Amino acid sequence: MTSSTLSTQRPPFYRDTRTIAIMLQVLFLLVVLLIGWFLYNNMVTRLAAGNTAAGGALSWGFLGQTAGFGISEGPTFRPEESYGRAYLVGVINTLRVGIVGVILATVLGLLAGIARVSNNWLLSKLAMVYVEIFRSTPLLVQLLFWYVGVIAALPPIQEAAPLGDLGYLTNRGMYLTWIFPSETGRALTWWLLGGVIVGVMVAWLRRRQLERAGVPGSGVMAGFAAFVLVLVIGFLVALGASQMPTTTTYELRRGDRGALFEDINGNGAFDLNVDRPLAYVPITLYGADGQVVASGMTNGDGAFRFIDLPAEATRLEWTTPAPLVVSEPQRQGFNFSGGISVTPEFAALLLALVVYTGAFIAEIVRAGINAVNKGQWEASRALGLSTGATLRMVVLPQALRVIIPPLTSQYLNLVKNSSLAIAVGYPDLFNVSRTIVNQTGAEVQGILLVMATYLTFSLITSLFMNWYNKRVALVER
Amino acid sequence: MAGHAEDADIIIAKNVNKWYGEFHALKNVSLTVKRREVVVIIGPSGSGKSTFIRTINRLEEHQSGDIVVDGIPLTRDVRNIEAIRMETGMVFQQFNLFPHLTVMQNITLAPIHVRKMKKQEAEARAMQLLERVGIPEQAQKYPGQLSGGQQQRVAIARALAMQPKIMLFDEPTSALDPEMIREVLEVMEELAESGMTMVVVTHEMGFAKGVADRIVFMDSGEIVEIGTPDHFFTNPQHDRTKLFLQQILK
Ligand SMILES: Nc1ncnc2c1ncn2[C@@H]1O[C@H](COP(=O)(O)OP(=O)(O)OP(=O)(O)O)[C@@H](O)[C@H]1O
Ligand SMILES: [Mg+2]
Repeated sequence: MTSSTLSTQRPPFYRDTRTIAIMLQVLFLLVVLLIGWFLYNNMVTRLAAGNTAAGGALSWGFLGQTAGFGISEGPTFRPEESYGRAYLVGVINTLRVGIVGVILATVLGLLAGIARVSNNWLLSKLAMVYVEIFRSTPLLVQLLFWYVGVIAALPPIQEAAPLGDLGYLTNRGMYLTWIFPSETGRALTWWLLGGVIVGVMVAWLRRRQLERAGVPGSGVMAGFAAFVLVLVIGFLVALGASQMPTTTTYELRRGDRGALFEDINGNGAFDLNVDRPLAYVPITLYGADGQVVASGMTNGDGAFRFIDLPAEATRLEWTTPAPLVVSEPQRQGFNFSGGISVTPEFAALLLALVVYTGAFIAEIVRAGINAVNKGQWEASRALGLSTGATLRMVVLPQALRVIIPPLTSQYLNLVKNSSLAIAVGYPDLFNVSRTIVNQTGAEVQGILLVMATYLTFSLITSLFMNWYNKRVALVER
Repeated sequence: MAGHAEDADIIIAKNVNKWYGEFHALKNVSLTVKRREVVVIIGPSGSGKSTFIRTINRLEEHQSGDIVVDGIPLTRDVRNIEAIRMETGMVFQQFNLFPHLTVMQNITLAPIHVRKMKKQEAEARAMQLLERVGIPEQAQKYPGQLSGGQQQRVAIARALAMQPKIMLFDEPTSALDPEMIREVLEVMEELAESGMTMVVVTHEMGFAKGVADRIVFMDSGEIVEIGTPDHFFTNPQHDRTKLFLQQILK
């Protein structure tokens, strides 16, 4: 009784903890708004005074204008397309290097971090040297080191030796054997996407089912199984239905090059944007005397080109490909055809980001492992679990709680640091945005766009990592 | 490699020495434990009790002397070490349960991954063990949701799940509130009655009197005196033992 009367007694508002808290927040908000208004006002005045080519005050119309420049890598981009699309290509390029980078940096950091805490003296010292070197030198310097010092020093294309069946390393890039969906496997991309969706759904349902049954465990295995099942079904369906279009036609020019396509308008010639090129179809070229002069495969754009043929080809035959085909890079004069290629710029940027961020992640992993009570190791070892099993099943799962928050920062850093791409000319979003700004003068818009994009990436990463962190949190009383 | 089932002596320690740097933590410690025997080790803090029982399953490495567990010599051979660890269960003062796993997962982890037991079988056996230690209803909880006494009983069940021939206890009740000590001691008493070979470091003199076959008194890294509880509490031989008993029984 007394306590309820006590708690309803109200002190004067300026001493009430609750109103003080609210008033402080209101005050803070006011200050932020004031500063924001001042900055915005300042910017608008400057813009009006400068009156840029982009049409003065924050106009975004330039995004629809024709870009007029090409982009060296990423999704196909032609100069006739718009600035907006050019920027999108830059965004995709940033995501390419960012996502691959985050995955590889995590693997490298995890391995180096574990090596640092291992009992193996040599391994642990090696990891320490790696961490110290790459943590203490500027990323930009490392990037140039990889680009100029390592990749440029690789053999030129004509002298490149094959790395087994994997492909070639040259100073003009890496050329790797790869698996592609062929003409008959076009639908596999959709099956892949469907597989991911079905997999996630199944994993979620399975988890709920397990939770209801009171059985611990995640639905990851069930989800993965569903994903694989969908892919297998997709492959079998594609295999069963594999058939080349009835209007398959080819174009053969200069006796050694051309394209294979579905002749949609039926005029017998390949019309860009109308006819559909047929990717990764095995072809055989015949000479006038009926002899085979070359055999190979069309590329991803349905085109083919052979070099140094013994005779001019006059005729072509094709066979129906499997839904998935393996394409190996083949030297063709001063270039390679087939496989996938990785440009020196992408490789240098990826290498720099992965090695640099990996060093920081290694330190985070080490700290995380050390934060786990020694008793956990002892209990696990006393039960007969090996060091590896202890690490995997007992220590790392607990270290994750300590690891994840700083790991998130490293992921964000990696994505943001990818803007150093401009130093080697990799067309990431920042690099492309600079080109756009230089051509249109839309300086402020360009910076705002870039900032908003990075902010979006960061927010999504943080949200995901926070969600993950909650999942691995320990259940306390 | 399999133990000599006929041997009566399941743990043989002969002239075991251990140093931490300059510090001589175990001085020529020799002790033989028979099958189904319960040996209680007592002694002042820092006397080397923990160090000694931790050398038995190689949580600590001894520098000289011989240890043979169930016929397996404890050498630097990893296979021997792992074989010995599979034969000995250990219960720690701080429980050391795996906080990210449920009680059930704590108990089944080693049987599934070390003994390669089927999950269903491991879980069925885990339930039996939880019933034996009196907390079957806690199977799906996490260690952080249990009381200290419950946690220690889970830890005992976890060690038993590997079907060890020997159980090592290092002050299993020292971190517990008084009202929880009883429930853990009861489980240990039941275990002793069932014929388990046990080596127990404890300050619980009631347990030592009632359950131990032999009591070992250690001081400054040495075994000072070994005897039956009767002999030990009524007629100790050494002055150090007398002094220690006076202090704790006063
Ligand atoms: N890792 C270590 N490094 C250095 N000295 C150690 C280490 N572990 C134990 N010691 C020392 O060895 C001696 C014996 O320790 P031990 O833990 O075996 O004692 P104890 O008899 O179990 O004592 P308590 O009853 O307090 O647990 C102590 O003096 C301790 O300080
Ligand atoms: Mg101790």
